[in-house]
Amino acid sequence: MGSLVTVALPGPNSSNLPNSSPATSRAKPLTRLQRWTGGSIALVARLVSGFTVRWVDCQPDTCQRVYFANHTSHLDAVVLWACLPAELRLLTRPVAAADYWGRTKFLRYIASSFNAMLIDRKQIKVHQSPVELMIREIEDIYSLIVFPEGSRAVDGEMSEFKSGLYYLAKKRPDLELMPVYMDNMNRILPRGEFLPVPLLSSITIGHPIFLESGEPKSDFLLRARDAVRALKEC
Amino acid sequence: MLVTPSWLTLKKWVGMFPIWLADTGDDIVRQIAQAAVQGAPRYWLNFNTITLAGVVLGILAIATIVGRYLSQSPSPSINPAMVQRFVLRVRAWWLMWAMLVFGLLLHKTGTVVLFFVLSFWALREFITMTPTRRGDHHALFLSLVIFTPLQYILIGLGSTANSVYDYYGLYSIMIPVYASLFIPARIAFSGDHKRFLERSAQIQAGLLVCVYSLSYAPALLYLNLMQGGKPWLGSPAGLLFFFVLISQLAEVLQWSWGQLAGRHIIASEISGSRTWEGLIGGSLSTGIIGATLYWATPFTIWQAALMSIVVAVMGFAGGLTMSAIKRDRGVKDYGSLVLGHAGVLDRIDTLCFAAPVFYHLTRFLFSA
Repeated sequence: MGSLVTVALPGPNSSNLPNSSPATSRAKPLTRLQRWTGGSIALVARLVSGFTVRWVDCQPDTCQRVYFANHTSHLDAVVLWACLPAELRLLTRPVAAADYWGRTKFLRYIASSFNAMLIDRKQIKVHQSPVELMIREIEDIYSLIVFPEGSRAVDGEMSEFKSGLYYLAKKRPDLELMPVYMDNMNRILPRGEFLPVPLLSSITIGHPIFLESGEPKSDFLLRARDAVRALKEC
Repeated sequence: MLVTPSWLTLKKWVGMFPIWLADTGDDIVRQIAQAAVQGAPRYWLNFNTITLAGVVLGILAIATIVGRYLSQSPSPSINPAMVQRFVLRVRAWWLMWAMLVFGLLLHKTGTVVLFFVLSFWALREFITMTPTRRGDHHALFLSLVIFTPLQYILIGLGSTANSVYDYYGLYSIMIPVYASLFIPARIAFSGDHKRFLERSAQIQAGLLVCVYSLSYAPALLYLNLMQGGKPWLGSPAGLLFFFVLISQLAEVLQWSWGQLAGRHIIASEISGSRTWEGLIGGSLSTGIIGATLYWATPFTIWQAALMSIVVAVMGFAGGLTMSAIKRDRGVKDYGSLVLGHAGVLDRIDTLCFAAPVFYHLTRFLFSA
């Protein structure tokens, strides 16, 4: 049953999808209230960040993907999630810190309604590495949103990518790694600020990259970062 | 019986007092206000206004058909890029027409909200384009989230029962004086002094053009319009419609004159299509069209022509000014920050510059 969903449907009209994850999925399907909250969050994110999305040399698709983007603002994860078409939002999970989003029942509810995958940064064991967890959680259905820089850049310059993306690509070579450049988010909600200034932003999603056989980790991470940076210019 | 409240009686109410004070306040002032309102029965949308909207609807329909015909059967003498531009422009006018009519159907408050949204969006585009720094965050937040709505709230407060209490005294100075002092001060508090004057001037200019100036367009609705010494019985909505229509027409006519007869480019560094011939020919022909539409306004034929010419010239200045800013920032259209098509600010730059002048001429010459 689940494999039905992984079939890559080409083009933007690939909406013939189950609205929630199928019965075989281990993750609980979202309730109607959660989906409604998720839709509202997406709408608010759209209003606050005024984003426009450009898909350069690629199309929205339901196949399993890892969207990796530059990280400058607290809003990045929600905005990137919100910019996807509604049917993809149900299948895409931003990775978020459990020690923040798991604090209260309300935050957990909000996180669940935008499909967040909570990863505990403090309790990392050998067989419980974040990458293992992500791979287990996405099964053969979900896509991921990750920020390989780890923490938010201060002045908008991208820092080095952490190695998680490499291990993700190594263990699941079938995942499409989509570079995403998010522009102007650091002006909307910079580091250390609480109130967003509702300016306009743009999100550019580029052609997927894959890990090549035998490619060294550092080379791959540099290539991935360049792929994001290249979208700045197009 | 008509009692016209004198400016001096009202002066103490103008500006600082919230409207509920006025409501519960002095009985005599309230009676005067009611008498003034009752003495001049006005219709929100009268026959003239609806006719004007209908005429524009017809012209837009014809323009759409022409655009479709031109794009389906391309003729060798016409540049296809120009046809494409024309079709897009007509589409933008449809949107503008629909929004304006929708806003007018929702009465004064609806129109004020509509212009607030336009201002907000235009300021967003303006600030997005200008380089700001981290230290400007709070000043930007307050400009967009406090000053912009406050300006329109003050204009809209004139619409409560006693419409003679308007907040002109406050809204006509809030942004040029108080916001202009507040913004540099707030930036200074955040401690970043790099390019200080430039940064504060950018935010001030954004507020002034996108919010303050544009807000005079809906403020037209709250004027106590007079015609030949007597209250004008027409609809203020019609006057606003006239103003928007004239400023859009002026843009087209100036552009067309520039294409047909343009020889002397005004500022080739800024815009290659704006010529002296376009300015003069376009503005004069706008005056002729404005004169034929005098029946929708409190003006006589000659006054309508002169007002139209003023709107056309101010709109031209607005377009040229905004082009200079865009050229400096290296963008073609404000919308191209975002999408391939023009942004809100590209469409309303002429309105922004013409609105305060049109408002003040109308206020001082045609209102009580």
